[in-house]
Amino acid sequence: MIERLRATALLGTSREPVPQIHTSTGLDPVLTSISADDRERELLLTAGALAVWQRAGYRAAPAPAPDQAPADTLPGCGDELTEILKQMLRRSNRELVVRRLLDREAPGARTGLSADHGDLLPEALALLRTRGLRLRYHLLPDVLPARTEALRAALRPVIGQRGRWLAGFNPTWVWATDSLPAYAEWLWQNDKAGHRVDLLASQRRYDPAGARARLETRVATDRSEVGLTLLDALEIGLSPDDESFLEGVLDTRSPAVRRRTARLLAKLLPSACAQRLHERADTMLVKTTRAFRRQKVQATLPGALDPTWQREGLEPHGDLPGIDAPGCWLIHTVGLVPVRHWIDRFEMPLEALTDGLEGDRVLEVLEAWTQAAVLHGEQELLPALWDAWWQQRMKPMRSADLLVTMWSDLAGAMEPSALGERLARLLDDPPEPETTCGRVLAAVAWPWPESAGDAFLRILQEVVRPLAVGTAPPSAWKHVLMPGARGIPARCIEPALVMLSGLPSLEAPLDQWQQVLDLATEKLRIRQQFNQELGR
Amino acid sequence: MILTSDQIQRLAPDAQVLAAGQKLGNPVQWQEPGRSDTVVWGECRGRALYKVGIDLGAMAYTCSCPSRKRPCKHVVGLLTLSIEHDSMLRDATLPEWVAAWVTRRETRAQRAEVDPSGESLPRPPASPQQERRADVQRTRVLEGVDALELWMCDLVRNGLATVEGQAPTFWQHQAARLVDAGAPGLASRVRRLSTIPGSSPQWPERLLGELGRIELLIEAYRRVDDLDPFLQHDVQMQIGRRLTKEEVSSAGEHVTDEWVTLGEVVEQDEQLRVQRTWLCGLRTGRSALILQFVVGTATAFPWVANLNHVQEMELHFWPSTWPQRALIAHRFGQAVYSADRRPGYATIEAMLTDVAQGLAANPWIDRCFAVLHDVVPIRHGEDDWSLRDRTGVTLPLQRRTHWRMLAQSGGGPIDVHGEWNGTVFQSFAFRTAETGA
Repeated sequence: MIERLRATALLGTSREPVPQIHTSTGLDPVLTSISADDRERELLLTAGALAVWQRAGYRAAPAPAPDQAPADTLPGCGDELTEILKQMLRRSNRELVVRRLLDREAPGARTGLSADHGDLLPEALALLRTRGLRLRYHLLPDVLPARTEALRAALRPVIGQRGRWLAGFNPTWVWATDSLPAYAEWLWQNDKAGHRVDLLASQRRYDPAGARARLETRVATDRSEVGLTLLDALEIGLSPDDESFLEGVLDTRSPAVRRRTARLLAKLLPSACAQRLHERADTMLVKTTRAFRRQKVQATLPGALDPTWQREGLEPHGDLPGIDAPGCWLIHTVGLVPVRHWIDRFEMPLEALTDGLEGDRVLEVLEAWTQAAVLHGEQELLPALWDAWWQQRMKPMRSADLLVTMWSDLAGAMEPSALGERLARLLDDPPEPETTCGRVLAAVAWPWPESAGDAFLRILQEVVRPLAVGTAPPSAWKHVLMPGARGIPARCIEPALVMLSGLPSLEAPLDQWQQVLDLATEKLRIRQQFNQELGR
Repeated sequence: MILTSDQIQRLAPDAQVLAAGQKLGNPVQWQEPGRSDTVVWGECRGRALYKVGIDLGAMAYTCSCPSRKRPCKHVVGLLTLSIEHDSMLRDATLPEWVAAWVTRRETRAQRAEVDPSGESLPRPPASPQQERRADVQRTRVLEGVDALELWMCDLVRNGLATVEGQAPTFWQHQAARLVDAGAPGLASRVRRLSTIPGSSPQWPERLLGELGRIELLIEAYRRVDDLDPFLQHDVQMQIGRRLTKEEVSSAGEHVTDEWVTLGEVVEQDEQLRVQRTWLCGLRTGRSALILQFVVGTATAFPWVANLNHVQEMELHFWPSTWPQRALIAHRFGQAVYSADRRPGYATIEAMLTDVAQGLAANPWIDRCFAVLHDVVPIRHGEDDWSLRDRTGVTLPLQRRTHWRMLAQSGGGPIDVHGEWNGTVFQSFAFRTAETGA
C-alpha cells in the first residue's frame, strides 16, 4: 500500500500531491484522522502508519513442498572424528580459507592450526571409506567445494546419499551428483567458472553416451567450443563408441586440442589414429647391432614435418620449452605408443632398450617411453623406467623440473611394492638439487609403501641425532620431513613422534629446523588422532 | 560447563590474542593448573609467572599480566588448556589468590545487585538542581527532535530522489546533532537510514516507511505525558533515555525461569559494538534480549553467553508494553548444556500473529526472536532462501547461503532459531530431531 506514495516520495511534495490511501481495513479511520498542518508531515505520518500496518500484517507466501533426500545406508562417523575434520576444515570459519584448504594447489592459508593440513584429508576420507562410514551432514558444505580430482575421488564414497542430493541444488557442486541435476541445462548453456566441465565429467560416469552427445551438439554449432578441459572429461568412461567423434575433433584448429584428442585416441586400441601413430613412431626409432652383437636403439628424425602429421597436433616449430622441433615430434608420437610395442618390435627387454639408447636423443626417448607407459598403464614396465632415470640423474636436462616430473608421474602409477624400495633409495641418496627428493615425495600418494616408511624413520633418526647436540643435519632432509609426515604408513607414526618428542627447543641458527619439525609433529599428531579414532 | 573452541574464538578480542592464546594452551606452559566446580586457574610461564583465574559460570576472568587487551592471551590459553587437556586440571580447593579474587567479585556483585524482593532501593528525592537539569535536558531533546522533523520535511518536500548517492556524512551529520541533543536512540535510527537508498528497487518505499516511523516517534514524544506509563518508557527508550539497573529493577517485570541461550549477534554502530543475546525461558516460553555495548574492537563483551546452556536465572525486564530487553539479576546453580527441543511456534502464522500484537503495543519494535518448529529450508536462487512450515507458507531467510541448514534438514522439518525483522528471518541456529541443537 505504501507503494502508492512512491511517486510523491521520489518527486517531493512540492511537485506531487499526497494521495489519499484507502485500505478498507481498520487502518482507514487512523489515516483519516491524520490532520497535519503541512503536506510533508501528513505524508510522513501516513507513511509511518502504513509501514507499521504492513509490518504487522505481513502475509507469508505459500510454496510447494521440496523433495526430501533419500535415506542413507551408511552410518555417520563418530563425534571425535567429526570434530577433528571440522577443525581441519573450519578452523578459521572463512569460506576462502576452507577452499584453499581443500585445494592442494592453492597457497597455504593461515588457520588456527599452524598449517592447513588439508593434505591429510585424503587419508582421513580413505579411512572412513574402509570403515564403511560417511561424513556427518553438517560437514558436507565444507567438503563439496573441493576442486582437485584427487580429493573429489576420495570424497565420492563418503558423502553419502545426502551429499549427492545436496549437490543437486548447487551447480558448483555438480561433480558430486550421480544423476542429471535439474540445473544441468542451465549450467551447460551458461558456463560458470568451468563447472560445465564438471557437469560433463559427472555425466560421463553414469551416462557416457549422453555426455558425448552433449559435447557433439556443442561442437556442431561451434567447433572452437571444444576446449582442453572438456576433452579431459571424455577420458572418463572412454570407449570405442567415442572414436568417431574424436576423429572429427582432430580437424579442429587448435594444435593443443588435436594433441589432446590424439592422446585419447591412442588409448583406444586399435583405433585408426593409434594405428597411424604406431606407423609414424616406427619411422622414428631404429635398432642397430654393433660389434660383439651389442644392440643399440637410436632416434632417426626427419628434418621437416610431414604435413599429414599435423592432424595429430604436431607443429612445424615444436611446442615444448628447451627442445627442438624434431624432439617435440618424437615425444608427442612415441609418447602415445605403448612401450610394449618396442619390446616386441626390437625383441629386447625394457632394461636392454633403455641401456641401449644412444645418440643425442636419449632423454627425449626416455621421456616419451615414460609418458607412454603411464598413459597405457603398463605397470610392470614402470620400475625399469624409474631406474633408467636414476642412471641419467646426473646428466644435464632440458628442464630442471624434468626429473621431478618423470619420477612423480611414475610414482603416481607404480605398484607400492616396486615403489617402496625406490623411494628408500631416493631418501638414502638424495639427488641434486636438494629439493628434488622432497618434490618427488610430495607427489607420492598416501600411504607410502612400508619400506619407504622405514627409510623415512632412518632419515628422521639422522635428522634428530645431530640436532640434539646442536649441529645441523644435511639440509636436503628438511624438504622430506613434511611429505614424510603426511605419507608414512600408520605404524610408523608413533616411532616418528617418539623421536621428535625427544628434541630440545632449537635456537638460531637451527630455528628453521624447529619450524619444520613443529609442523611435521602437528601433522603426525593429527594423523595419530584420526587413526586411533577409526582404529577403535 | 562445556566450553567449545568456537566460544573461545568469540571471546578473544582479536586474532592475535586468539593465536597467541591457543599456543599457550600447551600444558608445559602452566604451573599448578586446577579447577573447582565453576572456577579454573593456573600460573602461566611467560616473562613472569602470571596468575590466571576464570569463573566459567559467569565467564569472568582475572590475570596478573600487564596487557590492556581483555581477555588477554593467558586467559585464552587457560581456556584452551581446559578444553584440549582437560585431564591436566586437578580438582582442588581454591588457592588463596583465587579465593580472594572470587570473594572480591562476590562482594562487588552484592553491592551492585538489586534488592531481591524486587522493590527498588530507596533513592533520595530529586533536588531542585536535578529537576532543573532534567528540564534543560528535556528542552534540548525537544529542540533536537524539532530540528530532525524540519530536516525530514525538507527531504520529502524536495523528493527522496535527491538522497540517492548522498555521502554517508549526509546522514551522520544529522545523527551527530541528535546525539548532541541527548537523543542517541533517534540518532541510531537516522544512521541506519543511510543503508537504504539504492539498496533495492523498493528503497524509496522503505526509506519513506522508516522516515514515517521516526515521525510517529517524534509525535509520540511530544505527547509522552499523555501516554500509558509503559508506552512512555518505550517512547523514551526509543529516543535514547538510559535507565539504571535500579530503575529497570524497580519499574520492570521480574521473571525467574530456566533460561537457555539461543542466539547471539554482534553489530557495529559507529564506534560501538553492540551484542544482542537472546534467551528463551523453558517454562514460560518467553524470550529475553540481553544487550551489551563495548567501545572499539579490542575489548571483549563483559558477559559471554554459552550457547545452548540452560541456567535458572531471575531476569528483570525493561519496563515496556512488549518487554524484550532484560538484565540478569540473579543466577542460581550452574549453566548446563542442553540439546532439548526449545519452546517455539508451531506455524509461521502463529509467530506473525504474536509479532502483530507486539507492534500494536509498541510500533517501534524492530525485531522479534522466535523459534520456528518443523520448518523446511527451501532454496529458490543463489542467495534466495526461505523457511516453509507445515501449513505450506514460507518466510524469507536473510540473503546469504544456508547450505549447512539444508544439508542437515535433508528436505525434512527442523527447528530454526532467529530474529524476524519484518522483512527477513535471520537464522542463528537450527535443530534437527536427529542431532539436537
